[in-house]
Amino acid sequence: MTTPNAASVLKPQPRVTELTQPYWDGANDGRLMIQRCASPACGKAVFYPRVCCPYCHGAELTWFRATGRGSIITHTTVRRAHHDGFNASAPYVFAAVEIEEGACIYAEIPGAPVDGVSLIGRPVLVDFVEHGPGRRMPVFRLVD
Amino acid sequence: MAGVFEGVRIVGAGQTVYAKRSPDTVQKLLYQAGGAALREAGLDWSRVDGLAITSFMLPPDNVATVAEHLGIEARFLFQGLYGGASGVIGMAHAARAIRDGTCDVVVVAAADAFDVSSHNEMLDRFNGSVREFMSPQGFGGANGMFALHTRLYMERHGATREDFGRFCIALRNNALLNPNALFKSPLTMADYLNAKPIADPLRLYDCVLPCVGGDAIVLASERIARELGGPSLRILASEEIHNHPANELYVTPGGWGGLADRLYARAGCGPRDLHFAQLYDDYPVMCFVQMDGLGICPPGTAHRFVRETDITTRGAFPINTGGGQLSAGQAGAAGGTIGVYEGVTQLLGRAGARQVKCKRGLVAGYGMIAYGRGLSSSAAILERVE
Repeated sequence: MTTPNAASVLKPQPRVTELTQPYWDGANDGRLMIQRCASPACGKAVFYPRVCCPYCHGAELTWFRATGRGSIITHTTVRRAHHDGFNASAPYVFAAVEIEEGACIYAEIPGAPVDGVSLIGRPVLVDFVEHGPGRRMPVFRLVD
Repeated sequence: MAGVFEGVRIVGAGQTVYAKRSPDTVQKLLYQAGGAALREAGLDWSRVDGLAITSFMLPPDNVATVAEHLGIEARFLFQGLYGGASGVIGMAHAARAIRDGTCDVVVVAAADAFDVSSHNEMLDRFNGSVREFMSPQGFGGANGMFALHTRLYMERHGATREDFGRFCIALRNNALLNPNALFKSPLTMADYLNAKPIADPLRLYDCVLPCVGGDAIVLASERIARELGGPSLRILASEEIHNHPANELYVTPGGWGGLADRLYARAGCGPRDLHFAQLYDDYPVMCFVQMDGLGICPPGTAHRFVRETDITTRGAFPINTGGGQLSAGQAGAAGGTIGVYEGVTQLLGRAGARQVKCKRGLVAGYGMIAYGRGLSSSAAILERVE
């Protein structure tokens, strides 16, 4: 048995569904698309994509372009990847990001220090990087 | 005390040896663990008319095909779909079925045969949100997900790596008295602090080792328990809660904060009346969250509790007396039943070298890793019948 060359292994690709297509189409176009509850009484931003609002259970959600600004809720430096496709990237910073519209998105923070210094609360801005054939992935970068 | 589980007894517990590798199938492990629990109770498989089974590797088989495989005519079946919360939940479902007269003897068992790569493969396709919005983003598996929780707990409450180390070392000391445990040598603070980094701040000994094993307990009606004549336990209360609080990923203490009041009210006792806790220890931070949520210490002070309290089998408040998953091993879904097995074994007085003085104890579960957290929490309070 041979170990596959880390650089040649594709990262796990999202299995895009009809529900999540607008998110991934937006990423390919360089836009962070998020759902929002259409009920005026609620109006909360929703992520990951849902069939109904998980706050008020309203049936109507609309897609909007988020500003891409947010801050880091918590983070880790991944040193042992869960998938061979990430071996070449490790160590890298992975974080829970609260976007300013108020939803949590998990993403890599390329360029962030991997030495374990706390990044909690640090502002970030979305960017989009190549992830696989025809696929761009939202990531966030530290801003000062 | 007239509890919600009136007329139901726990009469036995069984465990396989935990191994890094084994050719044994899940069915074999379930048979071994369940058989050991039945033998201890003075029963055999011919008396079993209900099964509550949890195993990640069982599909395409299921609890009904396990009944077929073992030759059991069942009046009650439960298959745990809540990961590591399923052991406690399956026990409660089985107890309700016995209480309602549906069946008389139920084996509650969990087993898996895992290694690191099969664990990662499973988690990678665990559910839709993980598969599309965590794994492709590079979450680092369960280690990465709980590293996020660990850093947040440290930042919010001032817990240190040494605090998690104290917890892990105590569990290792407990495991050294458990002949079935995977880890056989002591863990020092230097070993813990300098171990291979996995996902900061987690290092190797913060992470469970996927392995092969199984755990089981046996529930029976009070009538059968009397006929057997051996020691038995009653379930004072058992609670589960899922997706609590909804839409809030990083509110602590999570699910246990949502079930503790009900649990103690129904049990008619409080955390001070417990003689041990068997917590779900996939990562030490989750034990801290359980201690906070279940009132073992004031919220946000679990790290101080482990500084001041000996939690080994010799200590004032023993936790995970068999070493838990952190030092006995995580046999997949059996991780949700290892604490149930251990709690029952302690209360039945059959824990051998690691026996603690106890009459009443708590067992907890946690599972179904989804978007950023485990969705399912469970806990029960068990008491020896005098």
